[in-house]
Amino acid sequence: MLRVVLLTTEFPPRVVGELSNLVAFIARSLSNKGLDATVVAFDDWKSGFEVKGGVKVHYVSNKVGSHVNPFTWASSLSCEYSRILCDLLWEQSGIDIIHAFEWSSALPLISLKEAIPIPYVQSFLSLEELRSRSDLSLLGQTIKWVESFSTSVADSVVAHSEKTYSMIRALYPWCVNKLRLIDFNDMNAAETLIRVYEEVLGKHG
Amino acid sequence: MDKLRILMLSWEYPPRVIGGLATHVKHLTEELRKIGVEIILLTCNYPGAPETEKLGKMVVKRIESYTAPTPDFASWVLLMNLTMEREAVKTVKEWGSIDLVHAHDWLVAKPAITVKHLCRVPLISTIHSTEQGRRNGLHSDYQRMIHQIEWWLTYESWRVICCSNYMREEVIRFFNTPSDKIAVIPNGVDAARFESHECLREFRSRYASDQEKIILYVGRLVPEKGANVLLGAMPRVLSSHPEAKVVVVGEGYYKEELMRIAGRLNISSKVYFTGYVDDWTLGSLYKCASIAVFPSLYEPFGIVALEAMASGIPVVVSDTGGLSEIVENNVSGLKVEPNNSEALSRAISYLLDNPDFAEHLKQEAFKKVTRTYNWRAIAERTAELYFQTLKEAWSNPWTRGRLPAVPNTRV
Repeated sequence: MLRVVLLTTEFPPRVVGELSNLVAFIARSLSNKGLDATVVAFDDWKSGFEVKGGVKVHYVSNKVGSHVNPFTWASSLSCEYSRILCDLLWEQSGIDIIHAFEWSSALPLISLKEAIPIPYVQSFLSLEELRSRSDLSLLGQTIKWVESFSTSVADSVVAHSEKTYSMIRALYPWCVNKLRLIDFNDMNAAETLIRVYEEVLGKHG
Repeated sequence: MDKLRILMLSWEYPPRVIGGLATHVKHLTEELRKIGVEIILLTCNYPGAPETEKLGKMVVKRIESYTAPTPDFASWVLLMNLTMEREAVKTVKEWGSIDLVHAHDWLVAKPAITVKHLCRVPLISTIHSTEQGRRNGLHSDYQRMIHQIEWWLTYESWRVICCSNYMREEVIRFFNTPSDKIAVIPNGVDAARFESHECLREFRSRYASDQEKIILYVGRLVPEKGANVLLGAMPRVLSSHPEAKVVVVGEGYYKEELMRIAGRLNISSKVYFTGYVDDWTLGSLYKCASIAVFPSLYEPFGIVALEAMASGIPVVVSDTGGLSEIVENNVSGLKVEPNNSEALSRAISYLLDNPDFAEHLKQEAFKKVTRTYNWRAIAERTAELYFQTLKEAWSNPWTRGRLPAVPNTRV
């Protein structure tokens, strides 16, 4: 059974934008297709472990409560993702694929990839370039750097809309060969994602 | 137990010297490796410094620390942490195994915590100072964030090292750290470094005339170091000792304000701001000074006071923090109430009036420094703490004894 860990900053009951429901849908779809799906999700009110509709969910909180910007928030949170990933590796049944959503969940993989050769898939619903109107702000540049770095480290990059797909192609041309577009309005999206996983695993031998 | 393998993380290490941390890490690692501890030190890069440096049993790796623009210092620290974390993770994988991680201050908390969980090894942290202490409270989200990162580091640490009892109390009070988790190991001073210096007339003449007596201040020019208290004391000192001259060594954002204060007190001609000086110049200045004054309002340890004591000059310190523990009043120096210019002026004048007493103080101070604050003894105590921690950790199911550096991907 393929063991997939999804990293996300949004997962029900925490719904901020469309990411939460998308990750919940993906996790459920993977589980329905017979994959062992684990979600590591940020939540400021919940913590601990639970199983929801066949999906294992580890809720983590940010150990640092005060922040000055989203980057400092994501940076300290990333240690908690790393902690859970390491615990899963040391104590449980291992991991075949790690799938991170958005730049905010990419940080732990950027460093852990140096020691743990687990295939890593990076998903983007959107990009800082598309979101931010203050393109030249220092914070925007920091986030773009993380996005850029994650596209070079990831084994596969998944865009969830045409717009994001085109923007990744334009901004990060080095990842074009590993870039895939998966629109989750498409009925076969889950199968397509599993094919991406298999493709990445195949490359890893 | 066979040799110890330590991954040490510090954001500064010579030639990158920002505060006292670089000196601390340099001396500690020098002595640790002399007693057989294997160390990989990860630190930030510095122009002209090699990316990798092998120093006996120690390897220094300097990471690229300016990878992308960041909006503020804390964001820069956390981005630098990402690069350091990558390098740390790569290093432990290459090294095969490590016994523990030793982190210095919040500036390296994130990579230290990640490596702890990745390698299932204990984390030891040294808290050199706290944000709440430095800022005299927490007044913004920025300061609260740094405070919480400091708390987080102590929370994740198996043991916390503080350099003074004052810092120990502060860590207990600010972070609710259990007291049994804290070890007090002081900072040290390399007394031999100051022996070779002398006060040459030509050198001295750059700072003061032959007739003038140098009152030396060394430290960052920030409000908590209290250089303004020294300036406030000088009009009284000068009224009875017109030959006194203050030499202020150091830089900081408070420098211009200090210059304005000197102007307002009409003592500008009696205060010399040197800015940053190199080690040789500082060593020689210690030899040329009549008295060294450390009037800090907040001082977790006060390594500069030890340097002055090792150089053989009498010291006057404020009765606060680590300074209060280093100096025994009327035995190895004089202590005065913090932020009290009048008391400080009396102490300075007393030493200028009583050279025999000043001589007695400096001799006692030198004895204390060489006996208590030598780096070999400090490294031995640190290594002992490493061993003690490992003994506890290896019997804990979390570490499961000695493990490979990183987990297998498929169990």
